[in-house]
Amino acid sequence: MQEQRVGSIRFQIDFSQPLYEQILEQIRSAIAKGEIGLGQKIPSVRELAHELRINPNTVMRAYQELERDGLTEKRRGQGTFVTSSKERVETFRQELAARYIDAFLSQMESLGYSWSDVAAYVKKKIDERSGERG
Amino acid sequence: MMPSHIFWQLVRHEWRWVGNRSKAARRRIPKKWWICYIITMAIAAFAVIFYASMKDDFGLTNIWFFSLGLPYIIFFSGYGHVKREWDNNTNGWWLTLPYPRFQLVAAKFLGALLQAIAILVAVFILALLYASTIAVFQAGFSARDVLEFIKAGVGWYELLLGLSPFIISLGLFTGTVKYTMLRPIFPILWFVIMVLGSFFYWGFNAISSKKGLYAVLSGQIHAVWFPYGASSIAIILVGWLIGFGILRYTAYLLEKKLSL
Amino acid sequence: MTNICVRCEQLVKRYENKAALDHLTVEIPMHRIVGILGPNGCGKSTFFRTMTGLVAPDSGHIEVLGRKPGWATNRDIAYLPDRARWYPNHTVEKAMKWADAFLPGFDMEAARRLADFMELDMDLKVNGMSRGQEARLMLLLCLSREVPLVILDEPFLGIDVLSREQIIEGLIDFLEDREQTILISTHEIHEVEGLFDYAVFIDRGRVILSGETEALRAEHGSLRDIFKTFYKRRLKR
Repeated sequence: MQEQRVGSIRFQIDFSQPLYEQILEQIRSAIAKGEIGLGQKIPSVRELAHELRINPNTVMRAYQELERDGLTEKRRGQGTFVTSSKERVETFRQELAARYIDAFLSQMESLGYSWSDVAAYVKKKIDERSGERG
Repeated sequence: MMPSHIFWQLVRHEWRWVGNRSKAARRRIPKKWWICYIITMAIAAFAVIFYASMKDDFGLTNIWFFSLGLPYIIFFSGYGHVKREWDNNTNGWWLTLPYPRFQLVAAKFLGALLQAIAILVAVFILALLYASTIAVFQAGFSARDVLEFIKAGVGWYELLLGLSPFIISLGLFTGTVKYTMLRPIFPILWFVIMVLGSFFYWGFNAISSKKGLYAVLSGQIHAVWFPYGASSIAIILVGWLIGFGILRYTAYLLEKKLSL
Repeated sequence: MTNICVRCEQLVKRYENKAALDHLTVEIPMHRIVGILGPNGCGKSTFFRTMTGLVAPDSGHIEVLGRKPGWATNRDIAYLPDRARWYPNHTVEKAMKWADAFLPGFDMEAARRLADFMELDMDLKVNGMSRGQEARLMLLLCLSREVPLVILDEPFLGIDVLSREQIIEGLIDFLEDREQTILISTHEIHEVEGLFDYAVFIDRGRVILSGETEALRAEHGSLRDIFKTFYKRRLKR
């Protein structure tokens, strides 16, 4: 599995996982991380399909989903752009953060840890870090 | 049915199609050499005829004996039109054309017929050139001998042209059988064709040694423009009918009995 | 009913004593890019030949675009035969004219664009072409047809890497806005597996696995892995 750069977005496509989700996730996280800025143009369906060697329909589906999320918008005759709304990206970032934390918590739960165990661990980490700084 | 202009375009495609990839690959001899060979052969043939023409018993009509192989050439024109689809690996394109199979076969038939006629005409012109040259340069030949030569040729060609629809159908059929479920009869078919071939040459003189084609070509009797009687015409017409039947059956084989 | 492109039930075709198709049963949905995958000699080509009416099955049932295959159904099918070559005396231009005359739905404009994209000169003669150039020509003749079904039998076989790339690029371009079903057979899945959104795995004349590629990936991993697993299993037998 190799990394490919298309425009300002880095992709890592793994053919042993569904492709649609990978494209969706990787563009989403590029936007959330700010790797691609507000109002910036993202690669066209055609371009991405060519670079990644995948079916344009798969790319198209991922793009439609991004648009539904409000993360991107199509401009007639110009292509697809990241939304210029800072709030929208911020909301999405928070949603993403919440999702990561939820996933983390449910994994911990499945290992048999209670939330207070997790909280204690997090507190310990915070103390360590402030200790390093102080 | 297919629109007639498509049919005629298909005929045109068949008629203009020359060359065979697998044969071209087998003989990797440069074109230049081929031209050399052809010229050398032509000069040699000319020399042979010229030498023969100096003998007393030589008649211009004897030149036509060189063309006795033409029925085979006509046969292979039909046979080759099917075979080279496979030799060139274009059979898949040909067989998936969305038109009735009989039309595909009929287009090949007409294409092959036109090619055969083109060859016949070329041979006639060449032969006429030889004969005229000899008549000009050798003493003892007159314009009447040349006319006699033409008459003999025309008589011979009437037979060839009359039989070629049948011969070409047979060629197309033979070429097709190899790629169908009838494949096992392929060797038998060749045997039958060889027998038919000998019958054809033997048939020249079967009716009467005094009237036969050999007699004309060897100069024993005078040539006439149309030397055939009712029975010969009947044979030719029956040949056309059988040829049509063969084409129909070939189309049926292509539709139902292909074995790829 | 209309969303099924090819439907086969218990399809059998025998050559002497070897079964090329051995009770093959499958349903292929419409408007997909379908990979027909399997090792050499697994029956892929015979399968395609029954779809185009070239081969009559010994038993079983087959329906393509809702009809029984025959020469008339080929009006709606663009078919690239396996190991096919083009007429050696044609140029690119002449090949296109041939296709325009005889193949229903042929779009001359699309063909010119594709030729340009695939770097084929209109005056180039087939006789002087490399295998890759010839493969590109034949592919563009198939892709330039506006028909509901396109069947490509081993379009990548025996051609150079560069032509292969160009063919894949051409395919991707072509796939973008078409309402067609495209069947592509290959035994080299690497590089092309991203193109397929439906896959049918064939082995010894039978369908051993089929489905949406995304679902197959989620369940079994990459198409290439699936292929390898089956192939290994076959070698062990």
